[in-house]
Amino acid sequence: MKRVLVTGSNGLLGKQVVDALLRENFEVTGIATGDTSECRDPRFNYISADLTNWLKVDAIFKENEFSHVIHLAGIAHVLKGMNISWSRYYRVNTMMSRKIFECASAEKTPIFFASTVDVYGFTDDIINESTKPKPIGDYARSKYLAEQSILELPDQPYLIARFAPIYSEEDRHDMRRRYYLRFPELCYLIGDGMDYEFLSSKNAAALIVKWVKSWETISGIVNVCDEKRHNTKALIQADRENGWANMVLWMPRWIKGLARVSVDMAFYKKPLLKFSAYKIICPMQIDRSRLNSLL
Amino acid sequence: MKYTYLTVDVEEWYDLEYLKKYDADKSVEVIPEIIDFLDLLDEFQIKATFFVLANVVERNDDIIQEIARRNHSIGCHGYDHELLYKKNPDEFQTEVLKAKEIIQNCIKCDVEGYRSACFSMERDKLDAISKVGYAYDSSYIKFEQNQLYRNLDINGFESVDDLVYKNGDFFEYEIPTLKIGKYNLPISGGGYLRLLPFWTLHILLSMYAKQKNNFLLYIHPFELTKTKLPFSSEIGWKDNFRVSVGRKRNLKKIRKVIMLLQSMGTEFCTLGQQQEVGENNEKSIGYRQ
Ligand SMILES: [Zn+2]
Repeated sequence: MKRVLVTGSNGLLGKQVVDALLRENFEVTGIATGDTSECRDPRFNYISADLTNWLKVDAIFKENEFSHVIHLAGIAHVLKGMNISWSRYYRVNTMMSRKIFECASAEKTPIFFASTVDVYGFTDDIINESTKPKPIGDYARSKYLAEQSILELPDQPYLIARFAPIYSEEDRHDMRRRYYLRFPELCYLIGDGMDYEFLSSKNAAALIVKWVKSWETISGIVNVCDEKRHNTKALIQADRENGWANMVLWMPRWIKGLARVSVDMAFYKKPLLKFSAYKIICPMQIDRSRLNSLL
Repeated sequence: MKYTYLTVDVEEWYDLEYLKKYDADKSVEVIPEIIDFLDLLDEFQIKATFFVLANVVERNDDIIQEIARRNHSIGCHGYDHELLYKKNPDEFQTEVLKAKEIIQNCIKCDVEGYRSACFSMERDKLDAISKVGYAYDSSYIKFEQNQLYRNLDINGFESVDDLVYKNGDFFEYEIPTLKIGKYNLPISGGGYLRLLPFWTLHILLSMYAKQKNNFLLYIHPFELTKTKLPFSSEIGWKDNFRVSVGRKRNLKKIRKVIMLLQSMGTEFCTLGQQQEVGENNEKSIGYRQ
């Protein structure tokens, strides 16, 4: 029986995808760089491998038959990532992905690729799948180039999912960056709160399982986020019920405009820093029509 | 100037002869960091020749394939980076064949060119290379001042163009030096490129252009990245200076040198292009445009 391949199976999303697929009785092969995997399910097969080693990639695809390839492995965009070189991003996020796609394509195995809404760069408009990508920074550029390499494969079934920033119940770090000055006590609230796009790892895993079951009808490019935007006022309210966010610094709405002008001036020649600051002060908005039509 | 051959010897920073005496932390690698340089070549639509050390292929098979995917020419820099005159001829012949096969297996394409470590080529080794199926070598340098380099005997080769020599079907490409008085200045190397300020390079290259029509540059991955090299504490200041000088801004300087050479009317081409045209045109040695 063919198995579903999940690369990056030890990651935050990878673990949940593997569990979700096993719950649906799929046989799963996971690949990650770690020596072992926590998953002990007998239907799960773990391969420890560095996928920049292409001899190893060739061997994996030669020795196994995969029904689907779910490619989640890559270097994430973290603020510390400013120290990661373009060569490193390109090697892992672009070259490695291209290699996996080519191996999958040799057998016409359908590909799911976890990309990012970062490929759109900055825009004030509501983003949909026909918005032209203008990636800013090495991370977004490396992911966008990987997407391009799928499009070059002839007659290849694929779904490129451009994920909003992912959080899980255990890890809301990325989300909290947007309203905490110091976690867990001090946060700030602008006006009636700001609306941010996020994606829970549970929803991401559910979409992937759905794609595995019906990949023939779900293809192309889709922006993926939670059903509703997350409002910081509501988030702070929920945190207070847990005993956090004891101090809230309230700021009037016009502070946003002031912040934007300051960012424009301060990061005039630093597009990546500007883009990172914009994520907080003027967050992107995603149109959900295509996502809703798939679900 | 007519043609410039841009060449890269794909080896690790710890393969440098003068660093071999120190312990090296081999976990820090420079070869995977050359993507910025590959992008620079794409920007100028330049194809270069990369001489790959066979013992780096396993750890960098993706990078070597990426270089080939961008349509650069791939040659062989030997199996390891030992000087050729320390190897016996039989051992050498087996080794260069093995190295050729390793690289060919990686890029799924024929490897025709060779460059010896530190230009330590000798005539019997040159004949061996031709015998095992290489079509050209590029290890000949007229620079007696450096004790590592050998004065390669190229008797029987005829000069067919500036820096290009031919013996039967086999070609030798000279590493150019600038003749000033009775001295030959090796201006084509990465080290000189890093050391000399751009305006000096400008003057030297203008002088060179009056002497020869063709030019060749050879550089190394450690000269194309800013990656901090983990030197052991016992490294002397001389060796430290020699390996570190000018590294930080070198990619920018290479960009300026490329623009300078282009403004001098040169066309960048890969080594070995002569053979392809030569085969189609028996009478004269031409260049593929
Ligand atoms: Zn070398």
